[in-house]
Amino acid sequence: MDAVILGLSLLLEFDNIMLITFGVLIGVLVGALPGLSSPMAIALLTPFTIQLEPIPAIAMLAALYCAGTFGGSITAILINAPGAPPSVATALDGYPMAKRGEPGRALGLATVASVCGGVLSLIVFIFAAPALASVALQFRPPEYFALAVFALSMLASMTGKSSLRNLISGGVGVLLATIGIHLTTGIERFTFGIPEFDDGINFVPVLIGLFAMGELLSQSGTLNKAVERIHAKAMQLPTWAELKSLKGCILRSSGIGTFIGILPAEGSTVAAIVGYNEAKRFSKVSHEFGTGTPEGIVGPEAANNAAAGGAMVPTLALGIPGSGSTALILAALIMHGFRPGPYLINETPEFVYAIFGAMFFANIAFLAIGLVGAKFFSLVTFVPKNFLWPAVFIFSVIGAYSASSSFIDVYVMLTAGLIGYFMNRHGFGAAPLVMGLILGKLVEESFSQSMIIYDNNFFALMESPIVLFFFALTFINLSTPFWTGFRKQKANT
Amino acid sequence: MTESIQTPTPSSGNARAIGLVHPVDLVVTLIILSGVSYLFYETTTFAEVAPMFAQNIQPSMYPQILLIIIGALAVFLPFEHILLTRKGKDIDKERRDSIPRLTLFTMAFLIAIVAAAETLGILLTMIAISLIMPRLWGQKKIVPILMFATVFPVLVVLLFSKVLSVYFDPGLFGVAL
Repeated sequence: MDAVILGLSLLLEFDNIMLITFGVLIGVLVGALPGLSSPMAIALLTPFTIQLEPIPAIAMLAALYCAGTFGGSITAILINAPGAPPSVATALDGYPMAKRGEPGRALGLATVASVCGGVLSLIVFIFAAPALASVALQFRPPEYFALAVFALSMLASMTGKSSLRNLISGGVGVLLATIGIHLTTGIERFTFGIPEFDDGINFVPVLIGLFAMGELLSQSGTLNKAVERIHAKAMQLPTWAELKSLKGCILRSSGIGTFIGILPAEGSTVAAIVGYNEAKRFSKVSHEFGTGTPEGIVGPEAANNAAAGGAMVPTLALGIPGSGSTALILAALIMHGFRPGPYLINETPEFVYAIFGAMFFANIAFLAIGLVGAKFFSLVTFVPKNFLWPAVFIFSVIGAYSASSSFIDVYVMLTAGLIGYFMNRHGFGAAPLVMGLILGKLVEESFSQSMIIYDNNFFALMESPIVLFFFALTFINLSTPFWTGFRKQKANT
Repeated sequence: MTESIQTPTPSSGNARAIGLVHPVDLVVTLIILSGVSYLFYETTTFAEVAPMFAQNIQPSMYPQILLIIIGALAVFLPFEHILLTRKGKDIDKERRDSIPRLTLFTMAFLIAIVAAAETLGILLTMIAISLIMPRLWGQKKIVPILMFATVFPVLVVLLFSKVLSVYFDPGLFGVAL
């Protein structure tokens, strides 16, 4: 109980409330601006949080994460251009509803569903994270290794066109994590004579490069894209009767979103798509989906916001990122000197409650922002790209440089950006690479320790039922795309 | 009320002839395999330590395992389009059109400005970005560019140096606020 009071009291300090509010506003803003995304904003803000105390810094980033997921729905509804990937499904019915003259209603439905999904998932988070952490305390290096391998295998089912490309991206990320001096032997690996690489590659410039620079280059190819904007005068909250008729859909999608969020690597985008599909499957008016039906808005919105809370469970309890955005929050935690995982929760439980409080605050703030600021946030899409993206580039340079006041980091950022652009062009996602980079150290350390424990006998790892369980899940996960492809082919012939 | 802005870009949409092997993915695979081979060679140059000290895990072992996995996965890339097409996924959607000229110019500009950043210092670099990039991206009005190039970098420097104590390198010209 003391931890709850301590954690929540930290958020009641004026400075911290301001920081979290700032995180929410930035989150909604970047979520609303097509091209900008919450992972990009987290990557850009992370280096500047080093000046802050760890708890308010992470709380601000967590609030930004929640708000970014919601913010994407504004542009999905008003300009049919999802501000963030999780809002793709919202546009399917949100935009048609706005186009037929009900933009305020569409925004209201999206906001209420987002708040419900977000709050419900946080309730699960506050109970599940400590429980999962106490289970994870029993884990030894072999179990951690198996868990990390399972998390990496989940990259195969992450959003994107190709499981194979996601796995390669993840592998490259894990390989990048080997740069620097090998902890066990003190031997330099892949440093190429650059002393700044001795301590390993700095996460922050890589994250900024992949998410901000890569997107900047992609945006340079879409400057002439036509956009049809619908002006929303104000948000219109749904009536009680409408809410009552949608409560089943909201609850179901919230449950789906939370569950998908808890799975390693599966983020809000997958949750939103599944939420939309399930809303359609259970709907009595499934034939109306795509024409502006309320269920087509609340289904994905409740699910994608619920996934945000769910994704924090493995992130904080196990140190395994639940999504691309939480991988960035994990990187911020590491930058602040924390080792995410069960010990973090068991030794500093107030940390979890502070994050919970910040995310809860963010969810409630959506409602206020939606009611008061919907009109303003729909106007931010008018910011000309030829001023917006130079500003993003400036923040990227400063963010990469300030991480350790070194120009090497700016070069790393640019290199990551150029590589990120070509990766994206050829279907290799940036998020799997980041997850691999974050998990890389854990994989190598737990693998090395396991090999030492079992005297280099890999198969002896299987003596542990937990290891067997995670390896079985990994096998199922990796073989599923082939089985489904085979079954589809058989059905067609 | 709806409002349309700007004109749509025509898409060339040239379809690629695809057989069993996807030609673009074959090139991608060859690039990955070249990188993997080079890095594998690099791992063979890592210093070795005594087995007792290394506890039977040499520093090169783990990266070599990873490189083999990446290489093995990459070998399947040229054939992956068969499975993806069956699933209704178009892997060529983003790369069907050639890289736009503006993207290439932007890349060249980013490389040039980052290369010059150490000499210019952070403030001058920001001013140069604010002056050149909007122009490069099609902004024709000079007044907004000049306003942006004066106000934005100064605000950013003041915010980050005074509030967040970020150190801004003044560069060889020694320009700082």
